[in-house]
Amino acid sequence: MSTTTVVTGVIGSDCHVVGTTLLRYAFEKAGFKVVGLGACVSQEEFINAAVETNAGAILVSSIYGHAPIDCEGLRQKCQEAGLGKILLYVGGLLSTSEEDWKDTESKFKALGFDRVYPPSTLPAVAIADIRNDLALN
Amino acid sequence: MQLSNKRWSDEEFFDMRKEVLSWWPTGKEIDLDEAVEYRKKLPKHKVWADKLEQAKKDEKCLLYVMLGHATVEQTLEHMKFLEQAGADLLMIMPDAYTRKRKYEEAERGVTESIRQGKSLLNGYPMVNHGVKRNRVLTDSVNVPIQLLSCCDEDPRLNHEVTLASGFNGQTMDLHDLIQHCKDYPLDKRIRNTQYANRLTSYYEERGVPVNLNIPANLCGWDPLGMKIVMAILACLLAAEQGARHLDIGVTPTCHLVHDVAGLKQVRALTNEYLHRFGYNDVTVSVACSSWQGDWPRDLYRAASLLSICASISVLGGVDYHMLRSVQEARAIPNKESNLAALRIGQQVIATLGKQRLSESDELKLEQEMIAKEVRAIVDRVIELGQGDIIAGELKAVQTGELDAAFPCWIHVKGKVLPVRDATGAIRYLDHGNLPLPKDVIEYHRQKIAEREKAEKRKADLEMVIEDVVCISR
Repeated sequence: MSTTTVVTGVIGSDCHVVGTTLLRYAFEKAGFKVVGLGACVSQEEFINAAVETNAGAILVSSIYGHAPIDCEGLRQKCQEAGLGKILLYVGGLLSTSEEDWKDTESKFKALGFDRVYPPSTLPAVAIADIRNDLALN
Repeated sequence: MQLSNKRWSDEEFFDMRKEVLSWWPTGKEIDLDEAVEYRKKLPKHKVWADKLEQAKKDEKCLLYVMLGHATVEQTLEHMKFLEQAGADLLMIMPDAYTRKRKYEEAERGVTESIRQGKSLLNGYPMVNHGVKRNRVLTDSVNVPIQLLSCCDEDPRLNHEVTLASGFNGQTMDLHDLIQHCKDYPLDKRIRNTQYANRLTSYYEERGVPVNLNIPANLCGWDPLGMKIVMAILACLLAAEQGARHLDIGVTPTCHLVHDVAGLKQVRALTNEYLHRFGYNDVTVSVACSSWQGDWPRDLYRAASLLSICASISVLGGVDYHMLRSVQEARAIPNKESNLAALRIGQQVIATLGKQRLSESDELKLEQEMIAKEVRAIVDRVIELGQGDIIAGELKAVQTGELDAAFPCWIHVKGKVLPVRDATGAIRYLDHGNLPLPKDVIEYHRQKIAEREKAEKRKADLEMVIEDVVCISR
C-alpha cells in the first residue's frame, strides 16, 4: 500500500496553528505523509501543494470565524486544477455567529467539503474517516 | 537605521510617520496635538490609568470584557449594554483583516455586514471607520476603552488611529509574531513596535496617560515562565521609547498554585528588570485573562471555566481580570454571552472579595522555580545582546534560546513541548534550547515523572494531544 499524502493548514488570514500542528503529528504517526503548510494559507497554496505531491486530501483548519468567506470556491478551484476528486475536510470554529451545528455542516458540505468537524475533534476521528473515504482499510 | 533598544529621535519618528498615515484615507485625518487635547478633556472615569490606580488602592479586582463588530452602531450597542451591566473596561478586538493591514478587505466586510444586517467581521475595523467615527464610541460610553492595537505584523497605523480615537492600546513584538504571524521578519516587527511605543510617548509626555496591554499568552499552553519572559522583553522595549503605563495580561494555565505563583512573579520580575535598566517611573499593572486554549462548547461548562479563571485572578491578587465569553468555542461573542460572563466575574469577585491564596511551601517553591526560569532566559538575552535587549532578542531567536510551543511563526525553532504534570501544572516535556538552569529542568522532569508513575505510561506526543483538549472535551 503506497503512503497517502495529506495537505494540512489554516486557511485565510488565520494564524491559530495548535490544531493543525497536532493534526500533522497525529497523521504522521498514523503513517501518512503530511505537507504541513501552517498558518495563513491561501486556497492557491493548498491546491499547489496538493498538485505537487499528488495528495489524497486537503485538511483545512479554521478558528477565527471567517471560514465561510475563506473556503468559498475551493472545490471549484480544485476541479480547475485537475483535483476534482480530492477529499476536502474542514474543521474548527467555522462561523462568527451562533448557529446549529447541522446548519454549519450543511453550509460547508454545499461548498464541496466531504467532512466537516466541530472544535475539539480528536485527530483520530479524521484519521478513521480518511481511511474509510480513501478505502484504505 | 541601526536596530537597537534606543529611544528614537523626533526626526526618525516623524519621517516614518508620513508614510504610515498615507496607508488609508483616515490616516490623514489624524492631528496629534488635537488628539492630545481631546484626550486631556476626557473625564477621569474614562481614563483607565486613573480608574486602575483607584482600584489598586481599594484592592479591588476590576473586570474587562472583549467585543468588536463590523460597524460603529453594532459595536456601540454592545458597549452600552455592557456599560450598563457594570463592566469596568471595554476591550475592542480589531477584525483579522485590520490586524493584517488588509484595509480593502475590511472595507468589503463592513459593506457586506451593512447589507446583510449582521457582522461578518470577527472584530472592529477601527482604521476604516477613522478617528471621527471611533470617537462616537469614546464619547458615548462612560467607561475606559482599550483596543488591541499592536497585533500581528505591522500595527503602526492601527496604533495611530487607536490612540487618536481616545482608546488605550497595546504593545508587543516577538510575542505576536509567534502567536499570530507566519513569515514576517523580527527586525521589521521590532521597528514597527518601536514606532507604536514612540507614538505612545508623544501622548505620555504631554500629560496623557496611555495604558498599553502587554500579552503574556503565547499559544496558551506554554509554560508560565516563557510567557513572563515575553512580557518583560516587551516592557523593556516600551519603556525605552517612553511608554509609562504597562498592563501585563497573563493567561492562566488553570492550575491554582502555579498560576498564582506566576502572577506574583510577573509583577516582581518585570519591576526588577525595569529598575535594572533605569526605568523607574513606569506603572506596571497585572491582569489575568481567561483560559486561552480549547474551550468547551457546552455553555454551562464554559461558565464554570470562566468562574475558575476569575477565581485564579482574585486569589492571585491581580489588578483586573480579562473575561472571555460563554460562547468562546461557538462564535464571536454577542452581548448576551458577554453579559453572562460579566455576571459570572462579578459574582466571583463579590464572593471571594479580598481573599488571597496564602503562602505555602508549594507556592514558594513554584515562585522560586519560575523566577529562576525567567531570570535565566532574560539574562541570557541581555548577555547575547551585550546589554542591548533587541540585539539579544534577535540572536536568541536564531539560537533557539528564545522559543515557544506550537508557534505559527516559521522563524522560531518551535522545539518546546508542554505537558501537564500529575496535578495539572504545565511543564516542559521538551525545552528545546532554552537556557534553563539544571535544577529547573530537573524539577520539571520530576513533576512529569510523578504523572508517568500515576498513569503508568510514558509522557509522549499522545499525552500532549490529550492535554490540549483535556479542558474542552
